[in-house]
Amino acid sequence: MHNANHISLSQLNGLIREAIEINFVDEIWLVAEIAEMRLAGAGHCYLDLVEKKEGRIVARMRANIWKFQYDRIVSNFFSATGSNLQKGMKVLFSVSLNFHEQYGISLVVKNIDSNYSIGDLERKKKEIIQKLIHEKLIDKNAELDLELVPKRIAVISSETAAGYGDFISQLENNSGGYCFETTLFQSVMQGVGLESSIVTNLRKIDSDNFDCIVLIRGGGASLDLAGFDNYELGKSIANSKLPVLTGIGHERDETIADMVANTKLKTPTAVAEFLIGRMQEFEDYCIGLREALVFFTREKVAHNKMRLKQMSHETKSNTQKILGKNRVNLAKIKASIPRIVKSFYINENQKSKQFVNRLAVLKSNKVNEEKTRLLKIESKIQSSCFHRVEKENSKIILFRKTIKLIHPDNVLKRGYAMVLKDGKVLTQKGQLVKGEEIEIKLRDGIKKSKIIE
Amino acid sequence: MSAKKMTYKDAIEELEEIVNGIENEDVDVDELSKKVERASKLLSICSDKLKKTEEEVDKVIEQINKSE
Repeated sequence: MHNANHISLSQLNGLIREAIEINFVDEIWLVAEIAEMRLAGAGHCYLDLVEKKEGRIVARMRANIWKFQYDRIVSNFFSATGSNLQKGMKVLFSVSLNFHEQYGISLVVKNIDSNYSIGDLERKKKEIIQKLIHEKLIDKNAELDLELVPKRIAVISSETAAGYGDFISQLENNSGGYCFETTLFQSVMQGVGLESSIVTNLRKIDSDNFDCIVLIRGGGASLDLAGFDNYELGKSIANSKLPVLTGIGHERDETIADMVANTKLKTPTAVAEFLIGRMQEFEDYCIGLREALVFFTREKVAHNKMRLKQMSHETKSNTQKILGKNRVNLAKIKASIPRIVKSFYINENQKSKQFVNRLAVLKSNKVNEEKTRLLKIESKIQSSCFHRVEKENSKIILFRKTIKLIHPDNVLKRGYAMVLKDGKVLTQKGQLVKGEEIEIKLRDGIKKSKIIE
Repeated sequence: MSAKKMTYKDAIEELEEIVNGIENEDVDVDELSKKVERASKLLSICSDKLKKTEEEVDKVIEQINKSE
């Protein structure tokens, strides 16, 4: 059965439109993230707005900025934030809700509160910085030592960029006449694809062939810096094996790229000046070393000369001192000589006197001794001579007695007789021959006899 | 050995030899008087030398004392 009570789609949409128009008369302040953004041929801008929770889209709605509003809104936004309105940004929009029976519901952007985006960009930037700090990347490139003479330079820039030309001509026309070898790594330096293009180039650069990397871009207020506040780019610069020098050409706050770079400079010209200065510094250092060498050598020589002079003075004065001392000593010794000699003489004199006395005593002792000895010898001779004579004398007396006793006369007296033959005494019977004449001596005389038998 | 060249020491030694000889009856009586005569000569040599020496020493001592 047909329900006669029905309405057409256009009638329904008309009802919805009425309801919306009644309920959403005033403009609405809406916070949303730009998920998609495109400019149509007619100059109108079409946006896809979303709300995310933990990375997931929880709400979505189309929006558009009409051509007559677009230029004003976008340029105001840029001058306030330093960034173009683009995909991924969280923005505070002033919108009116619009319902069209044919196209459905959509939002019309009337204005943008760029202050909210500034805050949001700052917050995002802070988050990136915190992350880089946490991952110990923020100072990693700054800790690399830039070569004393950075000669081989890898330039990441765009050939058509004004800053690049300035940089090259500055380097080539330096007053010091230093030679630089630059190699350009052509890169997208603004708008979409900036980060990935730079990251790709950073990976391409062989650290063995270069001394440093220069990231430059021409200046100008109309340029978008948001691309340099990117985590991937920051990480890539931080991890570069070569020191990265930035000259992104802006006067405002530093970007993430500047923060992680080894050396942050404002413009390409400033980077060129810095590199030339570096060369100059090294040359000055060398000159300084040379001068210092000469200076210190001279000083050393002068110092030693002075020292030598001083030493010669000291030697002279010391010698004089010693000589003086010795002179005094000598004088003292000289003065004491007579006294010493005198006492020596007295002493020796005493000794010799004693000696003479002793000599006299010894002499008389010896002489007396010898005298005694001689006397002894004399008396000994006397006595021994006397003894000897006495002894001989008594011997003689004894002999005389004996001789007297045995004298033949005395024997004859006692009745003995001696038989003689031719005056010789006969003692054996064989000597007595028969008929021979013998003499017999008696006490009173000799009687001649003849042997008869 | 002549008496003039003989030293005191030699003279004394000879004297002692003679004395010993007489005492031990090594000397014949025939030589005795000769030996005694020799001894007497030696004795006079010795006492002369002794006397001379004493005089000389006294002289020297006197000179030492004088020269002071």
